[in-house]
Order: sequence, then structure tokens, then C-alpha cells
Amino acid sequence: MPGNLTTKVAITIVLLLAFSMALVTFLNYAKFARTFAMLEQSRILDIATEIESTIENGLTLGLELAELRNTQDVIARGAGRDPLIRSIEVLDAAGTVVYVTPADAPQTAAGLARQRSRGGASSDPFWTVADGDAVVVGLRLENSFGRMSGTLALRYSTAAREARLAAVRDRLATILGVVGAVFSLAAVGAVFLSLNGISRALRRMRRALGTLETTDGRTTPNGEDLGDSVLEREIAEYRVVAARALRRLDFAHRVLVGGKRR
Amino acid sequence: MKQAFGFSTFGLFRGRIPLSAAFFSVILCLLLLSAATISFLALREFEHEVTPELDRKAQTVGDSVRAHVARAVSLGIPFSSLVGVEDYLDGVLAIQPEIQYIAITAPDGRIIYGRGGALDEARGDLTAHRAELRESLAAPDAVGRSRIVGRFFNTTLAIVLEERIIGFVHLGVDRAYLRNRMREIYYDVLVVTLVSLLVTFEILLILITVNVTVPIKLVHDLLDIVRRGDFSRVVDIRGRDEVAQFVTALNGSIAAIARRYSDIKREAAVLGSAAGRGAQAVLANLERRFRFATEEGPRPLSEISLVTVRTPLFIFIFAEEMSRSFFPLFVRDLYVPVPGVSEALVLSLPLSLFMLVVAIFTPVAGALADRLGSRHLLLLGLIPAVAGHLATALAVTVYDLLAWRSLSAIGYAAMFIGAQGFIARHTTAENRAGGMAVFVGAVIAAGICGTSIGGILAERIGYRPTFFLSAGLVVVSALFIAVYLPREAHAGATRRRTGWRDYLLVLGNGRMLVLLLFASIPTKLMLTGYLFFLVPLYLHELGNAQSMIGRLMMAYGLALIFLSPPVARLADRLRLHGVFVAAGGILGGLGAMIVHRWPTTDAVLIGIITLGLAHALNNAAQLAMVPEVARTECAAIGQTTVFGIYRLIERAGAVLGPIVAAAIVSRHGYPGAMAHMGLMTVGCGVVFAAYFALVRPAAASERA
Repeated sequence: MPGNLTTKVAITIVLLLAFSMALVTFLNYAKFARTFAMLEQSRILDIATEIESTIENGLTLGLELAELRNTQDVIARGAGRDPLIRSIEVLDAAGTVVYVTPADAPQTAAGLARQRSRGGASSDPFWTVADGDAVVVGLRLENSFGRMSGTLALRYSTAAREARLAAVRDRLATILGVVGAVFSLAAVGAVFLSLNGISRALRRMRRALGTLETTDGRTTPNGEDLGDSVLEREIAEYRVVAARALRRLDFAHRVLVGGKRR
Repeated sequence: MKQAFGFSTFGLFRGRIPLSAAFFSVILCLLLLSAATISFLALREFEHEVTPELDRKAQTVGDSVRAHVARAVSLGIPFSSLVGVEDYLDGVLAIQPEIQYIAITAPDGRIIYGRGGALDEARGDLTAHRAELRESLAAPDAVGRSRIVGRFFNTTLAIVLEERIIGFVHLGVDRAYLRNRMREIYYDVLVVTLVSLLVTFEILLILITVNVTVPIKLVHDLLDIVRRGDFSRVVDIRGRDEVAQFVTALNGSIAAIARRYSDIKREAAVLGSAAGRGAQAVLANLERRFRFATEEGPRPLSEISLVTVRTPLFIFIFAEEMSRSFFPLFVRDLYVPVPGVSEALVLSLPLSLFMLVVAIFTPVAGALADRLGSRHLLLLGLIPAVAGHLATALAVTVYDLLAWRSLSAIGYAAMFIGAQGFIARHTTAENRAGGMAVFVGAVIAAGICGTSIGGILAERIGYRPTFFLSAGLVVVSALFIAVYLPREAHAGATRRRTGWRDYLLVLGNGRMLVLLLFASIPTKLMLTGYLFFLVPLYLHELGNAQSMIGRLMMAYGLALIFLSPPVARLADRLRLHGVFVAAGGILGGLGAMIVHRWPTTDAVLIGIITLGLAHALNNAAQLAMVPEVARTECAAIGQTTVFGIYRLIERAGAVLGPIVAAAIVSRHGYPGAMAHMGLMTVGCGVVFAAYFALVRPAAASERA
């Protein structure tokens, strides 16, 4: 720890203030990032739900997934509704890809769907799995009897969101730095004002004690600048007692020297 | 020995308010203002980013709505006679909480269909802006346009059929949407601010006590000694700050006087009788009036402050309590079904085992404290504590978690006993209660801070990283012990060993047995079974976020810290400890039962606060009853031994609490389990009250 009391206290307060500000910034950011991701996901989910209900309308007529000829157009139209959507896959109940758009999209939804069903979450209305810089949203496709007929899996990119969040993080770091610096300065100033009086009183008392020591008790030490705090009054009293003791010691010494001469 | 504690500066601080109040005000202002400034500036950033996202969302929803309407009209149904549009819009709004209204207007701006809580508010603005809204979407292929309409971001999309605009869809998102969402974290920000305030204060307390208050108090004591002519003592001081420099100057001044005396005495000795009778008489006179240091130099004056153990204890308990609000949920994440054992029972095991290991290790820690001293015990105890937190963060199953929590429990027991022993050794009978208040205050304050901040952190960074943070905090606690806790002269003392005969003697006292079985054990049972186990699980089941669970559980500590001192004073003044104990039991039980009738978060909160109040009534009154009820036993084997036995048996309630709760949960669910535990506690309170009201104390006890 540094040698100065004001510095010690100021460093402690500044460190804890910085910790508090960092935590507050983090809480704000975490909430925003979650809200932002939720908004994006709910928009994509709207598109997915609409595709799901179109496909399920066909299933209600008693057709199998493979027989729903317009499904390819439906998913292609859906994919065109949002630039974030990378691909849409329609799987049958066995997990085989029946439709996919675009045609050259990597077909990974089957594995993710199986992984999810192993996790025991198959009764949820939808599931999401993060996959690199993308998220896959899966919805159960059911026929009119509630039997699972397949899965609709929509993969959308999170790269744009991550880039925007990174930009927000950078700006927040700047805000934190500036606000942190301003409040740290304020903290240092407040500590200095609070402790300056104590430091000055301590210096005064140290000076008074120093004078006492160097005068060797021969002259009355100068203690006029001592304040009227309890401790300073006690130091003033000490100086009187110490001076008296030193005078006595000087007297004893003189008597001793006199005896020696004799 | 009077303890130097707090921010006392013997008048050196010349402010209108005490130094502690000045620091408290300044830090509070800085924390609140900085949190508000950061939140405000961050919100502006976020609004800038989220507005386009809300717009895209509204366009996607609006796109679906207009497609549905266009499809219906394309089938030949007149635009103004579509059936069920409002039901359809209700359905859309139900799953789109961001959207406050949806209005479908004719090309001239008349609202034909509309839904949403804010529709009436927006109606006037939509009508007023209809010309510009229409203009902005004049082209049939125009995409949605957003503009501010009143307090909403209004997104308008044209409904197009065969390249002709047949109407418009308007969707309104509250402009304060993000602000309202962000408001949810303002409680968290407030909690962070308050916790930061308390932590800052705790750390300043040790810094100022050790560096200012204690040395200045010692100077004050030394000057009092010097005033009587005694120059044989100096203040024991380390450091280089202003206080240390001043104290060193004072020590130097005294040492100079002592040196001068030694020189004269040495000279006189060399001269022997040659110095003459006059010089010898002067020296004798000097020694009568003053006392000087011997040849070895002045003896150091020192004092050990209790704050040196309070701050590390605060940080340690803070770390431990950080998992309080989510621990059963963390265990549930690790749960793997075991045939024949209910899930609830498995979830309760780590908590119960922790309490069991604390109970078992406490006497061992006591013996170690006697042999090693508090400082060594505390530093040694922190090793299993850190290892326990780290290993818990990396736990794979419930079964290895049991081992890791046992390690943490050993550390916990060592910290408790080490700190208590330190306080006991450095206080006298007159100020021991004040010393223990330092201990209890730190534990409760840390409980409040740790539980709330742990919930907030777990929600954001997850359970496991929060355990890593706990381990880090325990290391910080160790650093405080290593730097500030003084080495004690060898403790050496050994305490009287408690044997089975002592247990039989204490338990043979019917009133003591009733106090234990129907008051003390149920109190601990409710604490661990209800508050630590059932409350987090049930609040989670009710859909509360982790930070909310932490804040709700914090209410227990708050009730306890604010109510305990006045309730304890009242109990002492009225001398009705038994009534307070019975009332606490009955009240705590009733509070827990409320949830059976109203299974809501509010009811659980009432239960938590009531339990805090009940324990405020109970805790001090139960302890006050022990020496009253067991006078004979205290006289025979000592009060310390009786209290040791009482504490150990009482801990059985803490061990059994989670297991009992789990056994009931399996059959009756969470509200049922809470109600059953509450009923059981009420029953115990009634039995306790009846016994103490009807059965007179044994004659022997009365005589004693």
C-alpha cells in the first residue's frame, strides 16, 4: 500500500467505485443484449410460425409432407422475407430432409433436432440451438390429430447482431472510461477534502514534537500553531511534561558534571 | 479493554458531521450518481440501436397482417365486412408484447378494424396524421414507413391487391418500450449500488481503524500515561503514512528522553560516589517524579482491533452466501435420476451434508483454534473453502458435489470458530456482547449482500462462474487475514472436553429438552428447509428470474437486521423470553403457510419476511433462555459447555431441514411442503408455550 493516508483511502474508494460502475454497465449491457436478441428471434419466429401454419394447413388435409408440392415455394418466400435467414429445412418425422432452401444450404437441422429430442424438450412449441455465428429455430409440424409429422428448422445469422453488439460494447467502454474518470476525480477530491484537515493536524503535531526533540529541552518549544482538537491539546500537554522532564534531566546532568569537577 | 472501532479520530476531523457519516454520504452520492449517469448514457446508446430493430419487427408482423387481409379480400369478401379480424388481431397482439396496437384503416384513413390497449390513445394521432401517412405510402409497392405518432413508433404498411392500395395496416410500438424493459434491471442496479456501498464501507472500516483509529487511540492512551510522568512506553506502529510518521515522531521524542536518562544514569554509575551526594539525590528525585524506560528501551503499547477479523469474515460469508439463492437449482442441473430415491431428496443432500459437516467439524475447529490460534486456523480453513468453491464450479454430478460441499463446510466451520475465538480472546466479559455484535453484524450484512448480488450474477454469467467468483473472494478474505490480522501470542489454552455425561446432564433437563426440540431445532429446520431449500426452488417454479429470487431472499436478512436489535431489547426489558420464543415459532410457521392458500410470489415474500421477523423474535430470546433454563447445569459444567451442547444439538435442525422439506415436497409439492413445515412449526410453538406455561421449573434449578 502507498505511504499516504489520503492515497490509501482514495485508491480503495476509486477501486470499489470502478467495480460498481463496471457491474452497472455490465447489467445494462446484458439486459440490452438479451432484449436485442429476443427481438430478433421473435421476428424470425414470426416468419417461421407463419410457414409452419401454412404447412400444417396442408397436413390437415391429410397429405404427407412429401406430397405438399407448394412447400418449396412457401419456404423460399419465407426465406426471402428477412435477409438474416440463411436457410430453411423441412424434415419429416424420421428426420430426413424433404425440402430445403436454398438448395445448396448445408443440411444440419436433422442432427440438431435429434440432439434436442434427446434432451427431452420435444414438447416445447419451438427450440433454438446456437450453431457458430447462426441460430437454428425448430418448430414441430403436427397434423390435425396432434401427431408429429416433421420439423421446420430455420437457420438465421447472428453475425450482424454480434457486430452491432460489439460496437455497442466499444461505446459503453468509452462511456465507462469517461464517467469512471470523472467520478474517480470527484472521489479523490472528496477524500482529500475529508482527510486534509487530519493530515494537516498530524503534520502540525509532528512539527511540534520535532521542535521539542531538537531543542534538547533548553528552550521552550514553539507549539503555538497546534489546533484545539483533543489530541492536539494532549500533545501540547505532553510538550509541557516532556520539557519539565528534560529540564530535570538537564539539572541532574549539571549537578553530575559539577560533582565530577569537584 | 476498550475496543477501538470505527472512524473515531479524537477530534482531528473537523467536519460538522462525523468522519464516518461524511464518508458514507460521499460514497453513497458517488455510487448513486455514477450508476445513474452510466444507466442514462447507456440507455441512449441502446435506444439508438434498438429503434430500427423494433421497426423491422413491426414490419414483419404488419406484413403477415396485410397478407391475411389481402388474401381474404381477394376471395371476394368486401374490405369493410371481414369477419373475425379483431379476434385475429387479438391473437397477434397476444404473442407480440412489443406491439401496443394494430389498426387497419381504409385508404382515406378511417379506422375499420383495430385492437390493442393503446388503440384509443393512438386513434386521435392516427387520424391527425392520416394525410402524411397516406402520402408516404402512395406508391402501391411502397414498403412500410415508420414515424413518431404521439408516444408511439407507428409503422404503416399498405394493403395492396392487384396493384391497388385497398387500405393500410398501422402498428404502434411504445417509444418507451426499451426504457420499460430496462427498468427491470434498475432494482438490480440499486442492489449493486447498495452492496458496493456496504463493501466499500467494510473495507474503509478496516483501513481507517488499523491506520488511524487504533494508532491515534494508542497515542491518546500513551499521552495519558506520560501525563503521569511515565516515559517507559511507546506506541507499536508500522507503516509510512502521516499517522505513522506522527507516531514515530512521538516515539522518538519519548525515546530521546529515555536515552538522556540512561546516559545520565550510566555517567553516574561510572562516577560512583565521586558524583557526590547532590547528584545522587537529584537522580533519586527524578526517579520519584518520573518513570523512564529500562536499558532494553521503551515497551511497546499495542491493541488488537476486532475490525481486523470483521472485514475478512464479511468477505468470506459474502462469498459463501452468493450461491444461496440458486444452490438448489444448481444441484437440480446436476441431477441424474436414482432408482428408488425422489429427485427432491437427492437435491436436498448437498445442503444437509454441508450443515452436517459444519456441525461435526465445529468442535474440531474449536480444538484447533486453541492449539494454533485464530490466525493460523483461519488461513488453514480458507484452503478447503477455496478448493470447495472451485471444485463446486467444476462439479459433474450431485455425488461429487457432495464431496466438494463438504470441503466448503470445513472452511466455513473454521472461519466461524476462528473468528468467534478471536473475538472471545480479545474481549472481556464486559465488552464481549459488543464484540459478538461485530461478528453477527458482519454475518448478516454479508448474507444480505451475498444473496442479492449472487442472484444477479448467476442470472447473467451462470451458476458455475459465480462459484469461481466466490473462490476469488475467499482468496481476498485470506489476503485481508494475512495482512491485517495480528499474530497472537501462542493461544495454547485448551478447553474442557465435553463428554457424553455432559450431554446427558443437559438433555436430562426437561425444560432444556423442550426448548431444543420445540423451539431451537424447528427454527433451524425452517431456516435451511424452508428458506434455503424450498424458497429458491418454488420461486423458480413460479417463473421468477434468478436476480428476483436473490432480491426476495434478501428480505429475510433485512427483516432480521432491522428488527433483531429492538426486539432483543424489548424481550430483555419485559423479561418475557419464553413468550417471544413461542410467538416467533408460531409467527414463522403461519407466514410459511400463507402460500398454500395463495400460491404466488407475493405470498412467498410475506413468508420470507415473516420468517425474518420470527427469527428476530426467536434468536436472541432462545439464547437468553439457555442460562435461565439450565442454571443447575451451567453451575455444574460451565455455561460455555452448556452453550456448546445447545449449539451442536440445535444444528440437527439445520441438517434435517432440507431432508424433511424434500420428503414432504415429493408428496405434496412446494406449497404443500411449505404449509406442512409451517404447520409443524406452529405446532412446536404451541407445545413449547403450553409446556413453559404449565410445567413449573424443577426445584433444583430454582434453588441454583
